[in-house]
Amino acid sequence: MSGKDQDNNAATEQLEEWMNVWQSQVDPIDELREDFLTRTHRVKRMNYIVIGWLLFCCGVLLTRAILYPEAFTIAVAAMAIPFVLYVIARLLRWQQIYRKAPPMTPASYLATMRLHLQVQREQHRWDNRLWPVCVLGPAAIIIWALIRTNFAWPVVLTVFLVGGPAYAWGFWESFYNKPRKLEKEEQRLRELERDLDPR
Amino acid sequence: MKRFQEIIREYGPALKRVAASYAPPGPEREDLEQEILASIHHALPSFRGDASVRTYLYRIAHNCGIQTLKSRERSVEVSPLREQDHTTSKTPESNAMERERYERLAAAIRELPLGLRQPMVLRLEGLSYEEIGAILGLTQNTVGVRLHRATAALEGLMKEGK
Repeated sequence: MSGKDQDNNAATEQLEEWMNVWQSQVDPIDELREDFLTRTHRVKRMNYIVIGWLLFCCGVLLTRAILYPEAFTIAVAAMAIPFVLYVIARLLRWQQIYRKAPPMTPASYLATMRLHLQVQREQHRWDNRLWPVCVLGPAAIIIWALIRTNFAWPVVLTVFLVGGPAYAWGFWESFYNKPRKLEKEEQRLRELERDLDPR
Repeated sequence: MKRFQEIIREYGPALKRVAASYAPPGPEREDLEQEILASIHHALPSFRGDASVRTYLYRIAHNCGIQTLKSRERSVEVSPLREQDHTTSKTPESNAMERERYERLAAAIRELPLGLRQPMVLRLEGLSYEEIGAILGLTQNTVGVRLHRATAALEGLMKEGK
């Protein structure tokens, strides 16, 4: 018997021993919990509710612009509707991409993740291009509303309570959180790709 | 739904073991098991029977494992060869020893790089090179080479853990 064969036999014996240990655990898996099963559907349902609400808002703005064609209502509709449609398109696209671990080879699965990340990066790039519209547009409307109402306290309060957090969140998400998350995901994906194909 | 229940009854323990090769005992592993089941439930209606059910299920289970690794923070990983200490204390002695050996092996497997871990787990499940190749999208030669390297690496890790 050659040394190589002996090595192979030793390895086979070792493998068989591990196999016995590994297969000794035959506990049944827990039942599929209802919350896990319904989570995907719940996310989808929430998305449709948000899309429905946004469409309703668009409808109201459009109707107001048609029924009361003043500079203010037309400007609001003209600024808000494209933005809302953009948000809807993103939600639908996200829904289309979202899949739960499909039965493909691990390499293809990682390639799909990489593609998903590229889409996210592209979306973020678009968000960054659009930020002047998203920031300056509402800001102009807010200033306009404040001047028109002669700084009425309900308007000031609304601007302070709604606009403040919204702007803060928008800046934080666009310039800090999102790039950081994407970078982290990129790094993790690179590690997994390297790990999957050991040289 | 009936088919799903049958599959889970038949392959449940194997799927549980695949989950063990990705996550340490505890909530993370339980969540991964549930993710695997939810994914199978989600994917089963589109199963056309091109591959065997077993191949199909293992692919889904490993992809869920990859997803878990992706969302896990490196810093929160538990030291893999020590974690079994607190998981086996409540079982009867003989079971506890068997369980301890299994968890030690699982912990060592989790230390392997993904490309070696997956063929090794499938081999330990008793699959042939051909089946492993079909699940991972590798040639039989590559499977052989990776298994050889995985065995050597695992041996080293098991010795280290002793």
